[in-house]
Amino acid sequence: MIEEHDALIIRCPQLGGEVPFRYCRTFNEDLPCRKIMVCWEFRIDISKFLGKHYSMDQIQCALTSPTKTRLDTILELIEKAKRINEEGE
Amino acid sequence: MKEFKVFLREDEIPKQWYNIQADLPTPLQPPLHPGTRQPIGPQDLAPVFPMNLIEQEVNTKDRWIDIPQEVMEKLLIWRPTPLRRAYALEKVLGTPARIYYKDEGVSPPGSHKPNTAVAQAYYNKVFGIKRIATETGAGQWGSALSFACCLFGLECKVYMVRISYDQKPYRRLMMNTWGANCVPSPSKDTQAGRKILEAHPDSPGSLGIAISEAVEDAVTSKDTRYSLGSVLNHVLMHQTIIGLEAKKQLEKFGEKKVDIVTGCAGGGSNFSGLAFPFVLDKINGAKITIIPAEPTSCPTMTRAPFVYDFGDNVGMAPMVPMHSLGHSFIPAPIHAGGLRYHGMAPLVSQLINDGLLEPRAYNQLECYANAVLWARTEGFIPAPETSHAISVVVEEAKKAKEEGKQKVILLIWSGHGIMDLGGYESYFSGKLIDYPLPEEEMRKSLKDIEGWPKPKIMKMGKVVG
Repeated sequence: MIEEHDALIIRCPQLGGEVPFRYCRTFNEDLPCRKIMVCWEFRIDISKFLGKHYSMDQIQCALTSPTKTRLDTILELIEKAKRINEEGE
Repeated sequence: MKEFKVFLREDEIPKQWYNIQADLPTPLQPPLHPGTRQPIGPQDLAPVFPMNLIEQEVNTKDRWIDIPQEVMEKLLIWRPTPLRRAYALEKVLGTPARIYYKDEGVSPPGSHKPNTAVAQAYYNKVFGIKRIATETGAGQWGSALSFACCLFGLECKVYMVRISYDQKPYRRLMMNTWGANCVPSPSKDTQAGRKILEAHPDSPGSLGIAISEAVEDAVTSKDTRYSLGSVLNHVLMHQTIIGLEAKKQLEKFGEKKVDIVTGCAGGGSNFSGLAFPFVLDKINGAKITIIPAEPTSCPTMTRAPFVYDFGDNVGMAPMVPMHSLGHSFIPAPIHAGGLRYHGMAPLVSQLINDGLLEPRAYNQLECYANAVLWARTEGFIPAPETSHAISVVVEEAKKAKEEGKQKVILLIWSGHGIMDLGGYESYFSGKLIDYPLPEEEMRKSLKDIEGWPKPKIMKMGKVVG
């Protein structure tokens, strides 16, 4: 069952607060957070869980896709927001 | 009589921030615009930051930047912060090391964050900005910015990740008390938020969504800019007041040199604040070990003879055990030349790559144990993030005991844990137990990958194996 560990709680280093496992496995558009293995490695058999419930493609996409820097993210969002401004005019 | 803590007089507070960009052995590569792939210019950031902060962000020439008097007057509400000596911890560990900690928990929001929040609020105000938008996870940054905006008469809008908004009512109440408008993200206030809510009405949110909302708000609203609490150069520079104060205070304690400087490093702001002034000394020849501590799991070699890294933790926590997924394994990603630590400030990443910083990682059980040890000796209850740096201190103090050396260890105590006791509850109730990896399963995993090429071992920013 994919919900088997959902009630377990962990401190999320990104958010700075406690979150349930359900959050870690779903918040990335229903894919796991890229740090799920590292955070949960000593709590549950996370590898087995991932292998059981996700395809290899999904695991690759979730865990190893290229990451953006904060500045890259901000710059992309600026462009997106500018388009919203233009649509509004 | 022993001195337990040293303050500075208000007139002794450092009058300038230290800009490490002027001293980097390897200059930062200019960031490329993701759209044009050309180096970004100030105008690219102008929709979200005031030009005076953009100038600080890109300043590679001036080593010292004057702290404006208006900012100083706000910082003086709680600064200079005390430098304390951890006598009780030293005694319990039986160490000859002398342990000092720079207590940033005394600020009104309870952490180091307002050191930059106040500066950013000021620079926005003089630029003519009336409102600042930002995102926050569990609320540390949101509450710091709310406090700073209140001091300068600015409006503040905080997009708080929904799961944290529901869980941390006291943090958002702090923001409300300081006059900020804090909403759960995803919210209906932005196009980004409405799009998410349409597809996932029960979305618990994420930092990525909250950032999208805050940036959209800043770009599309009148007289509004965006602010963030870590990662960027100007943010880290504002924090150097911490290390500059600590240097003066160590002198007052009679210390002529420091051997180890440490702090926890998520985005890098509190660590940089303490460490960067000491990195300058190291660049100029001082023998100092400077250790950013990261909150990730790091298995022992007895559990994982092979290592893979997943891109986020290269050099910081490079070792992730390789487990069988039935028929296949998660492969390591391919890395290009420069190493990047996802989520970490570029300045900190570059200094790791240059060998000036030696990162370490500690698992959460060890961190909570050391946090409790700290609370039961020194009295103050640390924020969970701070416990990673405390783990460095405990490790180094024990080493000093074995070596019989009177090392001087300096730590930034970045904040108190009074608003984060939920984590301690989980620890005390045994919910944070280690999962013992069955040996049989590990043997099977190893057999499955016999003959596979051995992955690169990443250590201290360099490929060593």
